[in-house]
Amino acid sequence: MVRDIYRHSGDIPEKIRAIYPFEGRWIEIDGLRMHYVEEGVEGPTVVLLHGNPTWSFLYREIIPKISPYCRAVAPDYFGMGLSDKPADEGFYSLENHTRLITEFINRLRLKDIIFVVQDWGGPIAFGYALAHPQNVSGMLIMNTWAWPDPSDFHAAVMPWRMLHAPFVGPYLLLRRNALVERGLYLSTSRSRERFKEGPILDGYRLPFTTPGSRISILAFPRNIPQRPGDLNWDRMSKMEKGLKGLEFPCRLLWGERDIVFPPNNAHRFQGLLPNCSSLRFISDGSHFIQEDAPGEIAEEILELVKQTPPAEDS
Amino acid sequence: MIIHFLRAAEVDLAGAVPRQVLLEQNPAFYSEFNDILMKHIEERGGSLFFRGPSRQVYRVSLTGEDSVSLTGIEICLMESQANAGHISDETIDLDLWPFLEWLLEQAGGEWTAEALVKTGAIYRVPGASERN
Repeated sequence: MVRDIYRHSGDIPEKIRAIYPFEGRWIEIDGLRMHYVEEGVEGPTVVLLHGNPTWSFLYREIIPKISPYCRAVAPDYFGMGLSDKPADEGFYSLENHTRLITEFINRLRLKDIIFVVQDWGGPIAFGYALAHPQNVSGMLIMNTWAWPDPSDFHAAVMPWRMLHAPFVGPYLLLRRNALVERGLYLSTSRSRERFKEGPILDGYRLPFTTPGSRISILAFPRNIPQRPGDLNWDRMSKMEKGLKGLEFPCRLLWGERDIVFPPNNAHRFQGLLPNCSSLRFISDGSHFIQEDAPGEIAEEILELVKQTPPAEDS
Repeated sequence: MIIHFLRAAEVDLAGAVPRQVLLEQNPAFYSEFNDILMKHIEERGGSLFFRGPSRQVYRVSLTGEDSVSLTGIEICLMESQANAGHISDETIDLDLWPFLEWLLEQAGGEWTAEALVKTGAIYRVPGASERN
């Protein structure tokens, strides 16, 4: 049940606007306002999906590099970025995020999508792609997963499961905003110095000003299954089995220093996806690879754009 | 970590105003946490009270039974009207930390106060820093 809703004003301070200069757009879905960025030209549609605890701000350096060649669309999930944030933790299931992004795609009539995904963007995009494979023309996959068994990092009590344990989670992730204040720093490599202080860290802080605005940051980790019977175990088991049927071209780009999804996850995707033509490691890249290697990501996206045939009118 | 829960009669709550400082909407995410707290809450007639290092009093109780507020277990700072709004977040964070350590030790098994302190140190939270 959706009750209280935290709504961001949409006001962006000048120093953040200077590095995230996009016009904000909103669309109403289920009575809630979803924020997104749309930049670029007529042509292939690239949908950039973020993870936790980030938002479309994550793609701020990539969008200008690709938008001269395509239509770049970057939504903020509900609960993240400048989108509305219902207070009910139960709202933020993987199933609901996938349903709402599907609705977003339908409402914007996005066709022949090239997905660009990292972290939670992976399970959400693969959920969409398995249900609508005919509407996906490619995917750039970065530091994510699509199977039920947790990575070693996600299975460990310290720090991951402790971070979102009952009462500890609301303390660390809601009161202390630990994933934004420290997690981003810990999960970047080349760009790590940016996350000590300054406008980039302030940009990530912007949507999450109060504990009540951070519920989805806590809910995402609780959606990661640990064992059979857990929420999303069956969903992600089916997801993994479905990968072999996805015939659109995929490319992999991976931050090699990621301890959340180490390079063996990239090899696992390569073995599961039938049309995965490229695997590129960034040796000094980590989990938030968009911060560490925006130029390399833009190159990979444009390779997919080149391969995409012009969309047919429907 | 030893934490002394107080009975309502032991606490001067005259004029105190509860301010929610933490809400756990899903206390049964790991069932052992829920079991411990429900047992203690029921044994003490519906609410637990404890004093933090700052001497402020906190109440742990169920919420959502009014069907208006969110369901879960909340921790409220019992503020005197004179102090309302004057207790800093930093003070509250330090007050809540011993409660978390107690809860983890009660949960047992793979959950330890030591793991909490180490996790807190990684994420640089003040409660953990005080211990290091």
